[in-house]
Amino acid sequence: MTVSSAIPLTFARPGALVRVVEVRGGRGAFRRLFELGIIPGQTLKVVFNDAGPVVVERGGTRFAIGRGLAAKILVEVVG
Amino acid sequence: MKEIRVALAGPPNVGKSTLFNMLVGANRFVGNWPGKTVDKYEGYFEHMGYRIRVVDLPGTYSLNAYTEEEAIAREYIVTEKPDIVVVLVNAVSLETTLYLAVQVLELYDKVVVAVNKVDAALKRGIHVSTERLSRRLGVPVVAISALKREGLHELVDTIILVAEGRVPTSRLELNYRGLDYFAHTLAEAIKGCPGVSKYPLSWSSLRLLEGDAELERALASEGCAEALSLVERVREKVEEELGSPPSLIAASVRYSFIEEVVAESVSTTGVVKREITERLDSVLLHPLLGPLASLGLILLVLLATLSVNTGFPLKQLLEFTGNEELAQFFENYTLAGLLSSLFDSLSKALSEYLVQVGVPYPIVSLIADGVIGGVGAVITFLPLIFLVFVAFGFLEDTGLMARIATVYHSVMRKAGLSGKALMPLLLGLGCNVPAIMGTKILETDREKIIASLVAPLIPCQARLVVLLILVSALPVSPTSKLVAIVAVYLYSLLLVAVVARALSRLLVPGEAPELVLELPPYHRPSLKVIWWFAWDNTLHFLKKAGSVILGLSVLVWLLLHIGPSGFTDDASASMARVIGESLTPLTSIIGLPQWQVALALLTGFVAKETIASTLMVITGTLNPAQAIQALSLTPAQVASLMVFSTLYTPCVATLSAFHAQFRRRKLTALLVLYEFLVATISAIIVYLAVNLLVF
Repeated sequence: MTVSSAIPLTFARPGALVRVVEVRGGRGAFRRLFELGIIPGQTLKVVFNDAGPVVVERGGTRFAIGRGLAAKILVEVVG
Repeated sequence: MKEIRVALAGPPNVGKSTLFNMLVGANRFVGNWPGKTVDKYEGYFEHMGYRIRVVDLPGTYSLNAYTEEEAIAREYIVTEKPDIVVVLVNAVSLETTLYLAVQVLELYDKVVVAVNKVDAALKRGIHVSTERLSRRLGVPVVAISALKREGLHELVDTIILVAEGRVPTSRLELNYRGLDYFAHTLAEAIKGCPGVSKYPLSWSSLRLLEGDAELERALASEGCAEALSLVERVREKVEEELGSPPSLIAASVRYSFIEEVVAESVSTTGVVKREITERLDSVLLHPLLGPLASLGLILLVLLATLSVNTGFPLKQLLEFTGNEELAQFFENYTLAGLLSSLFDSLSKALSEYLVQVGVPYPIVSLIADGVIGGVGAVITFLPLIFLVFVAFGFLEDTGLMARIATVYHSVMRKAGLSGKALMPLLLGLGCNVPAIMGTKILETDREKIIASLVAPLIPCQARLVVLLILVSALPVSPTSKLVAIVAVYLYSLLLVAVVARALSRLLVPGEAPELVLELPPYHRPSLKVIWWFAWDNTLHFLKKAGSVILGLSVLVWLLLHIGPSGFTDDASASMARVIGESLTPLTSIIGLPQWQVALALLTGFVAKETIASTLMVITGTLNPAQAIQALSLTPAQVASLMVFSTLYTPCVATLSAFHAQFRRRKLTALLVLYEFLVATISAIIVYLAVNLLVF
């Protein structure tokens, strides 16, 4: 198979369009993440990604995701 | 495993199939309704030890049994009596979709209403207050987005609660104006007819008036032809006397009810333009500016709400800067000041009147001081709670709260809480009651409990007063006094963090909450939504906590005025003294063996600010320094008392608010006990430490 170009969401540059590849981890906050539609295959726009939580946008709605959790969301940059 | 049977009802296009599939996933079966051509979808899932079997009723606009689908839906609800019927409505078109819900609610009481597509509605600036809907409909209402799987957890939890009978639900009874009377006469006639006996009597008699083919058939086939002809006659009579056919009257009653409900629970606002969102977010979510801007916002809210109510902290600031007169003005003309002088004059006037008409003095005192005092205590809290929730409603509704929660998340997370908890906790500096009520805005029950358990550790304004009075009696320099007070504050706040962390480990060991938060688009705040939020919560406090506060106030009055030899005005001859004395072994542990101190702490349970005044009253002195001299308290004892009175059992109002919030006796007991323990240990340490330092 191809070498994965996936990176943790925490490494994505602001302004980038990323596609969720994998969400590593178990329950808890992940359930909430899925309820909000942050699931593999979804495309997100990275709005802010500096010191605080990562802010992404999907379908015009913004979400703040804690850095610990964001590190477990693997994405590939699509634009 | 316990099984719960859930029937899913809803009009077409409301997202019923989506919800059904989201709930049961692959565990679904398609069959046929017995004797019918319509597909029957059934499935199950497991949750918290329950096996939940879901039957997807055919999508219908009503339960009139005009179509096969409607007949199936109605028949299933009536004959199968599912444990729960979940009725789906659409937040975007609430008015039309509520019609079916109303019909189901008139037929059956074990119902949960799910408002679907709330996310889409919010984007259009449509707010639906589930609390208000729930109050009018008499059953729980849950906001969901089936497509995004939002709120499904809460929906399932609610289903279980209702199925277990832990949440009361009632059958909806509308006022059909003149129709009710006629329906009643019919009810007598069809009482014995077996064909309709499976339906609620009032329901079927009204339905028969409206015209219901299925019920008519049932009457005819079961040999109730007489009743059937009566139906015809009554129907004609209705048209004669009321001027319109019963079916029209019934439908218009339902729709006007729906219109009322919608007007009360839906509000529409404009959404702020995108560029403004961009610009605001780049400040409010900025790593450096964000926390500062949020803090500024929080302080502004605290200053505004608390100053209007009690003058704190504006009054203290004015005093500190030498504006004594202005400070006094603030003291007198705050809401709390005005209300308390109102109640003072009320109780004075009332007691004068009662004495005049010859009511015995003990009863006068009970009414004027005990009851009016208690009512006053409840009422003086109302404006504060209302204003605090106005501020909260404003922050939530504009979308600002989500930003504050985001930037403070990492700090609060260290204490095992989320960023959203900062706001209610800081409110505790003014008063613990709105702090505890404010935890309502937190996302999970677990966090609500943790935050509410630690909130009473935060020194409120009443305790600041006690601290100031006690510290004034210490023979030390002004700087040392300030240091002492600041130290008590810092210690309390440290305790908040430590206890919150410990509780979050103990309650649900494992990871601290991770931040996943939707940042809603900024809204222009809707006055209606803010009003609802504030008013609902104020009423909630009045209803749930009011009676407890009143009851406990009267109880303490009784303790202070009834002694071994009957009624007394002298606290040192009262039951309270007996209790105070019996408590001295406990207070001796913290270095305070005087019964007067124990008694003062006891009255401090009603309102903390009375601790110091009680000491003065019992010792018959005019200022705290004299009182402390009269009791010959050492500096170490005063320090111990300062710490203990700051941390021990929260006041009656706080405790009532806490209990009203969770209604779990064990939890309330836990709060009282752990605070007592923390206060005792802290006071012992301070007592020993000061003793070592001074002597």
